[in-house]
Amino acid sequence: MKKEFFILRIGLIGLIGLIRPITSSAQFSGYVKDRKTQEPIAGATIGALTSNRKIFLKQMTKVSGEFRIKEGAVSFVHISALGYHDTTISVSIGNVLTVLLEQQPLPGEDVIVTAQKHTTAVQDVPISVSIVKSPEITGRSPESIDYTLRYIPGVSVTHDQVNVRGSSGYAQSVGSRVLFLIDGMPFLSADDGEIKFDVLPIMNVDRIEVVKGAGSALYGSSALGGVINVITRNPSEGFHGAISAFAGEYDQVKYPEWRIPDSLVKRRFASIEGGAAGTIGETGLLGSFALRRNEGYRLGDDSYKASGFAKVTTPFSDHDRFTTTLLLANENHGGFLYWKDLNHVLMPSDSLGAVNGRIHSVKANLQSSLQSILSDHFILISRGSINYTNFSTDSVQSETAPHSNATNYYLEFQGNSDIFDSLYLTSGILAQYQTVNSDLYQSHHGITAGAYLQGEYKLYPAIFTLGARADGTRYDATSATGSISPKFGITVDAANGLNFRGSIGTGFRAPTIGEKYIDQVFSGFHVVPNRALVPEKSRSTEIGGSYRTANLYIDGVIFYSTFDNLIEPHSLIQNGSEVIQFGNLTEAEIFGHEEVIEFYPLSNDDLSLRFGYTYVFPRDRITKQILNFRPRHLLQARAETKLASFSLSSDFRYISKYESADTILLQQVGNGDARVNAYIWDARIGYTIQGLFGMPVTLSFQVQNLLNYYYVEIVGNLAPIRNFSFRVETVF
Amino acid sequence: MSKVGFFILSLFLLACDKGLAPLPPEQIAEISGAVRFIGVPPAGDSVKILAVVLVQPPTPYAQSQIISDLNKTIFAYPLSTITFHDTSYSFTVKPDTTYHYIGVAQNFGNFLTDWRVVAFIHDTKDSAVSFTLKPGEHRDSVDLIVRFDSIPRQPFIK
Repeated sequence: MKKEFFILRIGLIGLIGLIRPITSSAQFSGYVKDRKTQEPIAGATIGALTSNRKIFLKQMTKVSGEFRIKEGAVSFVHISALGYHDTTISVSIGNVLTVLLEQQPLPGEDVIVTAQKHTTAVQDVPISVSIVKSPEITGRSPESIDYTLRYIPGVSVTHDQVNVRGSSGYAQSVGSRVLFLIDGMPFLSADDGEIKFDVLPIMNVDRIEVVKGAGSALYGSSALGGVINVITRNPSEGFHGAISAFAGEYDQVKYPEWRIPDSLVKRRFASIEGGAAGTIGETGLLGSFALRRNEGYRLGDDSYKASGFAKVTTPFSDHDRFTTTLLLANENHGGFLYWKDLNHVLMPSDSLGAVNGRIHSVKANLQSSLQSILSDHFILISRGSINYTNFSTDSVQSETAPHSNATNYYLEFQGNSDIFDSLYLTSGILAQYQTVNSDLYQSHHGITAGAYLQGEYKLYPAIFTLGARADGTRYDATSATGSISPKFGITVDAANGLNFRGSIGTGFRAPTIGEKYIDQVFSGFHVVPNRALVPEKSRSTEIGGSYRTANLYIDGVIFYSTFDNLIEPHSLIQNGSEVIQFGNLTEAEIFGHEEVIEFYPLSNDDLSLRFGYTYVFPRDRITKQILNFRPRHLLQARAETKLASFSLSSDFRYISKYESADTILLQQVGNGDARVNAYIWDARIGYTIQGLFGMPVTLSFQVQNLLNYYYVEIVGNLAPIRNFSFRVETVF
Repeated sequence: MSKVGFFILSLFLLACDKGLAPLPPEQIAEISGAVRFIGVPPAGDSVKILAVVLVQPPTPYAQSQIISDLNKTIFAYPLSTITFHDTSYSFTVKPDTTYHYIGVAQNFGNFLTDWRVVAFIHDTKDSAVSFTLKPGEHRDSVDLIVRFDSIPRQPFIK
């Protein structure tokens, strides 16, 4: 543990060592911030202009977003930053300005906060990233965010488990191998380590950032294959509101053998979501509420969902900003798990999952952050969250009626500093406490402590990143297990829009309380605890490059990752009985490449085309067998255009069939080996009119799985069939 | 036509393949019936799984073969409830195949191999009845009566 303590000390030094009082002896000064996120923009270029608009001085903003002009006859300043609209403003001596820049990136010039834990231009990040923004998210009328993730290059979703470049596959009841964050804070349940997608407020998701590759050097456990950060909107100035509603129906299946009477399955779905945002003084308020009902296209697969979201932002002073967010969700859904067989794909298995049994769940997440600019060169961000999940089942079989209550408490202090001109330091310390009370996992608690330090050194045209994080995790009174996760990266700006990057990262995932302590009988299979489980580990390496012009963005990368001690269920004899247990079983490696092309043929964004292709070769390093549930080919394409008041968009996905599946699952599910390559087309058309009081109203019609292609994402589970929906949306 | 257009058309045509489909009638037959429970049922915790099973020859005389051959020569249809209410079953099987017998099997112990037969279709000499289903044939009313207090001779044991 000595190494961990060393890194902890370094983290503390980085956090508190560079604080200087804020002073202002300038002729005039100011701060540059992102209008949407209110985050300071470091590295923005400030040009001081004379009255005839000639630049006589240039400087960059500090980590606090601050700039100071101390000399010359300044009449105007010109502010520019990568990923933002330029702006020029007139100034007077003694002014203290706050300049808010609008995001308007050129292709490939987005900014991202997740990759380096602070706002960074995408081309300065040494690892592959993807960003999906609000219009694309809401435009697909998703019932939950996992639907949106399926359209991100390199990302696939298998039965609620997110796969980034084949890193996760699917292992029944194993926690997520991709770390999921909301506004930078972990959002995995404390018992089984799953992502609870239904909590997320679709209307108020500003963007989703995906970091592809191991990310434990900044984020710790679960960032084995990547990090997904859902960033919610901030309250806007003035009062605004929005209402969005859609309703639709699943089509009838083509084959009579599959059909079940309409009296049993109605196949309709509907959603309504409304929200409002505004400011009272300097305090911003934002809230939304959603109700969703899906009758399902399969028997025993319907759901009722309700969720709420509230966010408050308030400045305590010119240098502090406090944000608190509350998310609530309540869900009740059927117990469909697997089909009966290939001739009854819409009927549930009689033994796996209960038609009459329903699953009830409640989720609540409260998180707060305080961003304090302590000096020109130092920002302290304090974060804390409480994440509660609960589920219970009223299965018809008494042996499979589990419940679980789990709470995760999280506290983190992060410091960002640029005291040295070319060196940007990010450091932090954190603690996490988990408590679980369940008849599945019994009562257990876990505690995690960690510290990280990262430096980004600019040596034009390159930026070098070096960092590491130490984590220690302890469950109940057992001895702690530690992990040290280093990373190294480099980006090179080769000029004229050409950039290269390379990185080596490490990841780990501590076993969940569920995996270690589960003790339950499922369908005759006794699943027993394994207190000896150790963390899964990963190492990922990539080399890539990108090229961008005003209307074209091309990105290509090759990657290689190794995974050790992957946790999977297996059967064994214990105390004279045959049982199922989670074990550290698999040593894996994944080689692959990924290409993304974005093309904007017109000078504006009225026509956009995007194409992403990912190839992975995933195999067991010991047996040389192909890994379970990893499609080798993944292709995603999107076209979007606007014609006057009309908007048209279409998505296509190709997912090659996985070559190998879990043999335990294959034995349990009838015709479980039935699988095909998947070709999925979606299309939608929208029309915007000026409604009452000049409020814009958008009407849209959407068809998902246009060709009614029948495929599975996992054994014995027909993916959503063709469905039609009509959507109305207005903002005021 | 441009290469891009041809590529997109190719994908469209591939998608028209429709993906998964039911097994063709000539590849399957169907069997269905009812399961009735008579007498006092055993304690619930001794019934791990209760399933209708259909067994191809050769008969697996070692009970462990029941599990190891689950997807090869034995078709198991787990019953949805172990509350011992009368229920019905229906499943598809491979046609033109001789099935050694059809019955109800109970997994009762701590081993996945702890199975016993609690009902099966037999003739007057207490021997299992073999049968073959033609392609597309649906044999219904193959009813099974489970008497836990008088379980039949175990056909899996020599």
